[in-house]
Amino acid sequence: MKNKTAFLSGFILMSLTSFSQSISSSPYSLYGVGSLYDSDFGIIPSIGSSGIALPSVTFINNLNPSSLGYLPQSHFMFDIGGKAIATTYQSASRSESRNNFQFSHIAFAFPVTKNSGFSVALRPYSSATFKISNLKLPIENSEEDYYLTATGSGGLNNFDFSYGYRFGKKVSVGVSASLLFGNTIDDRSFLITNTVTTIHKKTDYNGLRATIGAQYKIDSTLTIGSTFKIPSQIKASKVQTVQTIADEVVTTIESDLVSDINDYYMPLEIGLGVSKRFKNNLNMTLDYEKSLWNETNQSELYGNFVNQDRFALGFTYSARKNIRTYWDRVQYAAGANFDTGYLEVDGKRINNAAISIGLSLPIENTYSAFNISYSYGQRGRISDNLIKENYHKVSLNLSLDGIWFLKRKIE
Amino acid sequence: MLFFAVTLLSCGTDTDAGEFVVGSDYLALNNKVVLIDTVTVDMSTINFDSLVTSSQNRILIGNYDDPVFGKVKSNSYFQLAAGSYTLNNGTSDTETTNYVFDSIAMILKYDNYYYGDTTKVQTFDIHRLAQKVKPNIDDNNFYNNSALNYSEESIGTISYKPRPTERDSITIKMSDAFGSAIFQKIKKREITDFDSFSEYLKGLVLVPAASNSSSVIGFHISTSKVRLYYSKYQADTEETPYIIDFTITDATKQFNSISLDKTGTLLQNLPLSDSKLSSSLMNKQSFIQSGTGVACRVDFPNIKQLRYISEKGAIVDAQLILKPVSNSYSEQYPLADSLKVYVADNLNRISGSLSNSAGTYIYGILSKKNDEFNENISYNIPIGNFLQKEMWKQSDSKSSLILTLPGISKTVNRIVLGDQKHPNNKIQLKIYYISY
Repeated sequence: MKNKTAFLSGFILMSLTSFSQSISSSPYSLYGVGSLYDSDFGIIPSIGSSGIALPSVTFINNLNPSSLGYLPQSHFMFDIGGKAIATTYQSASRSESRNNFQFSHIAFAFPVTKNSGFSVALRPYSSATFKISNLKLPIENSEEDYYLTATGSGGLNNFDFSYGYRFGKKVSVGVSASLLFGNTIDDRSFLITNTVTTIHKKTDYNGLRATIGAQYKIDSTLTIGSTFKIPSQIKASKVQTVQTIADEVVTTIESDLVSDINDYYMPLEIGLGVSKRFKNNLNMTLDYEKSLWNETNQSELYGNFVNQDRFALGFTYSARKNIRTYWDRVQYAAGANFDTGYLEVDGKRINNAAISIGLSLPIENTYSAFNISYSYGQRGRISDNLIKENYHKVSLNLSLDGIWFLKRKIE
Repeated sequence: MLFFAVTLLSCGTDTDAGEFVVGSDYLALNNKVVLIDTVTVDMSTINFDSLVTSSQNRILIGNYDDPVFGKVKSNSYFQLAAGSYTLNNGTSDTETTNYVFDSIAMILKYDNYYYGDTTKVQTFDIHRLAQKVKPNIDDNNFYNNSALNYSEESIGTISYKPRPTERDSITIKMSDAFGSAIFQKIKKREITDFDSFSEYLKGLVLVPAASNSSSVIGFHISTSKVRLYYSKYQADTEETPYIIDFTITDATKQFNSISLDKTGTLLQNLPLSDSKLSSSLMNKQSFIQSGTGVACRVDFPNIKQLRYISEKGAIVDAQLILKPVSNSYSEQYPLADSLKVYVADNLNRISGSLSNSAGTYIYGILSKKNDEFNENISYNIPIGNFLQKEMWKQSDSKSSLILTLPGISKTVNRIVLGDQKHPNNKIQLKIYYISY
């Protein structure tokens, strides 16, 4: 057991270092704490990121901690994933494609008792990577302009500890604590008349956020679920250096000065989900989530935030009745997702819509599976000040099931 | 294994040229870049009591009645010396006795400097100094207000139309009695060296006539001279006469006494050198005149208040734009190409030249964008570095800028500048400020 713990800690450390290399450079990463990652486990990416009402039976369901109450006894589950994303950025006048690969998550879960389970997960939360070259901006109170060059990097990570407990056969509840931590680095240089001013800003964030969830099995084919993500405050502080360069001489105005800045507020988010099985081999999941960003009174420092609605729909199909070949055990999935976005730029919401298909390829005779998902989506729109992103995303999630504890216990 | 594969792959990402930008309003939110052009700039005129005018290597002579500044006048004093105080082949006494004095003249070489109306005749006289060219005080300098006694008698006079750029020099016939006396002293070996010469001829002064002069002209000191001509008694007319040249060999013994009669002008109430006269009392103008010590002072009384514009901010650049008052300059009174800028305290004590952050001196450069009303003719001075320091200065003392023209000690150029309330030629201060 000790060896395993050490082994896992090693994993976690390594994955932490790898976060820093996960780069997604959306122009929208300028806002808030950056662009949010979606890093769902198991088959969830294939079903439009729906699944609030799904139990954690064959994989770890990261959408609802109460699902951990259904972890099969004596199983140890492990989930790791990565994504390859090809994005085309389009403005009114031009378009450009960029590819990137990113680590998505690492998680494990194990049952604590026969009706409760615990999971730990580490995943990136946001990426603040962006780049702006020589953008001409007006000098206030004049007809002159200055030029801004900026790069952003870094982002926040999410360290989740979740626990789910099942009362009898129908009701389960769960809670998770998410530790949000990380930093963003913002380097800007302003060319104003004949001088250059550089501002190097590193902002550190950390905060804790709780999620409570519940699932209720109405009958053997129908389950409903709900989650409440509690509003929380992510503490922010910055270290800033300001320099001006005039006549090739650098003058430091502020050097590594630590100061508090407006904290980042996470909203109350209410999620509702339904899972319904038809004819024993087709399963439908439908989620709705509302994020009350308006109530956070987010500082304008982070941008203009608005209430967000998210709809997710997914189907899985498997020929469970008479399994003859390997392909009979393969699960097929499809889904769609629409989200109004929480960001408003120039009075326009940055919404996101995606469709997805996927396969869950079982490994041996366990719950282990290799999940492949492809999705196509669009984010934002083309207008004066906005960019449309078209993306193709391939998610690879490896969900491993081990019966290690059982073996250990027998020894 | 897969994990490591993913880790490795995550390093690969395409380069971002940074050409896709959303929300430029938002970008300007955290760091506002503002032009501030409403900061008060106080202008005033000061009068330095003394400028060192010796060792300037220029004989400045003339006077003119300036329509704005009053009557400007420059006398030039100098001491002369000869290379040798002997007549030709002075070793042979028999021959020496055969030499006779012919004439004496002053030859002044133009150095291309002039100010005023050179189409009018200029008249000046040469007088002998009654005292030695020796500073009254210990510092070995002569000043624009220094003066030496000289004899009433003129030993040479000229009335001429200056051609400072077309001609090489002017020649002034000097009194034969004066020349002959020197010749005889040398011949009789009463003058044998500089000491005996300077005892006899302490120096000369060129004094412009009180009227009948409309310009001030500059001459080289190194090539100008007094030339004494002599020849053999009853020599053939074709024979070349012999000469003795008396030149200004010591530049420290040459200076110009430049004076300004301000009576009846706006400048007549100029206070002592440690004080100032506000532009509001001078018809919304400030004045600079070289040679006479009139200078423009600029103050920024509210600069420290820029600290409170935003919680944190910095002046990244600033331009002080000074505009010469229309009709105050002309072809006769041309604008200088630049302004010299000094930093001084409240009592006009100069601490140094204004410099940029690299330590290079800053000048106000004349920009001539010709337009119908000359509204864009201005001197631009980059003062961002100066104002940034002024804004953050801990002490209550404020520094001023003092503007002069180049060649303050050896020219009489002048300029009139408009203050912030001037109707047509307002001084402007543009401060580029960033909040962070």
